[in-house]
Amino acid sequence: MDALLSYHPRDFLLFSPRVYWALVTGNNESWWPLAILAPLAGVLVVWLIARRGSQGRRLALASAGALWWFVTWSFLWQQYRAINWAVDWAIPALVILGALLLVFAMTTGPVTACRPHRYRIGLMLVIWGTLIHPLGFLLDDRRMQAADTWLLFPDPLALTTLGIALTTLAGWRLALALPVPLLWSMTGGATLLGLESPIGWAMLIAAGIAVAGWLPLTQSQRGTC
Amino acid sequence: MADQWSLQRRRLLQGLAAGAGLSALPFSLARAQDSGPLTRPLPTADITLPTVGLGTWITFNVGNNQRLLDNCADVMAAFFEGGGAMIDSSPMYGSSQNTVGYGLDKLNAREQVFSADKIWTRDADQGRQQSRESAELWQVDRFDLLQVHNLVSWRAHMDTLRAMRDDGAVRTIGITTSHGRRHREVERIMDSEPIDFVQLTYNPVDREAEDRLLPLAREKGIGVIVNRPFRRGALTERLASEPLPDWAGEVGAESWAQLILKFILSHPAVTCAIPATTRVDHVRENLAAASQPLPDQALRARIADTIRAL
Repeated sequence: MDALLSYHPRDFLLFSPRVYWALVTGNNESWWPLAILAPLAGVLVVWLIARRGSQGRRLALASAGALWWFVTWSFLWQQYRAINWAVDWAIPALVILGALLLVFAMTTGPVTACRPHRYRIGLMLVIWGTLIHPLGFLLDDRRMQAADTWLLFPDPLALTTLGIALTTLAGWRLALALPVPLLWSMTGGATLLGLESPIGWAMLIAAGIAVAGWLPLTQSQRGTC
Repeated sequence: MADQWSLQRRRLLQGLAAGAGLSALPFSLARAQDSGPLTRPLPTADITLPTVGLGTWITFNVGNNQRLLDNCADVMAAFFEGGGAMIDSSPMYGSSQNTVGYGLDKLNAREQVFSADKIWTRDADQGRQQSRESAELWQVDRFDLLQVHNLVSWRAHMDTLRAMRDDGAVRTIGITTSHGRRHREVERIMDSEPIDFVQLTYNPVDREAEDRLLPLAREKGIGVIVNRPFRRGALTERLASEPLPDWAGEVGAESWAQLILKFILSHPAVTCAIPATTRVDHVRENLAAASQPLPDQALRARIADTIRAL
């Protein structure tokens, strides 16, 4: 136990900020112009959710599922895995998450937000993940080319997924959809803090807000959605 | 490579003979050769090593980024040009082994390196297989040193390592720890197992090893590799804004990093320190620190007291 307590969070990081942000920059270059299109796609998803139509929400859910498969393959498997072997443990869970979201998108009936506060929190997280998180480069002493967007990187996608799930799912489906992006937000936030990026705090706060949006409903109105 | 080490050994013996008067002093070592870093012999094998090596934790985990791979190869080139030999890595260090292999191939430096790697797996049966995979990444036929990483499943791996050394599949074997962890267990292993090297953390602010491990290493003839000499850069970063004391010039130190390295190397039990870096100028600075004069006991105490107080 004493040995465990002697570790600093930074001791668990295998790579430096220089290498991580170079990886992000390289991925943005490889998939150009997706990085530029990502905010526009974010606005589209916000609009789909905000108009409260069933088809639009299903489309948002399906897009999150498909993006988890894409990001897992294009970034985590092909690039990030080379510098962080620990991601091998996460990859199966992320593939299953993508499948779950796609299945829910195809099978879930018309969903209306059970409680306004959950809807508002979900919408805020979608805006946060798609439009605000990429602006973190302004706080990090990195170039705009190293901005991480939700179409290409797991951190903003996790925040966006939490928001989409909170606004489109309920009951057991929501309970199944939330844990993996929640865990990713927490580990991703801790990783960013290890990289001395203040955006890590935002990730952790967002994860806490997502839990706050979920828990009251499961305790007081279980089964009513 | 064996010829090179033997040559260095001859130079060392010549140097020691010339400075026989100095060798009686507790913290003084004769300069082993005319140029290049100081060297020290490993008592258990016919090996003499330059006292500054190259760590790869964090710094060499650069993935497939070509620019960063070439940057690491530049660091290795400066390291070998300056007379360095030991490079230390581990399967735990992400793509670091692959980066070392890339550099060795690009520089055609397989004959110059003293290759130090680790076994890092809880599966006792996987030790030999993991070392083969590591050697492929390094692009070497065998390792000069294989260590049990952070004592993970050390009992089982020690059997494997002894057998590999007996077979000639590895030249020397050892164990590692860091951050001052599990020193009692390390001491027991040093006392009971026929290891050639122990790797541990030691610097002017992490001095627990002085109590038992370093004296025991001297007594048993075990080589000591020092990791985290700068606390992964935190120590030199903390000192960066502080002016270097005038008395640092007494031992020829021109920076805090050199003063710290000279403190470490002045302990007679230490064989080699392995600072990690991404910068060519830092490699040269580190290698330059491996030179006489080294601090005597009074100056060692002054270095430690000063750095602790800042």
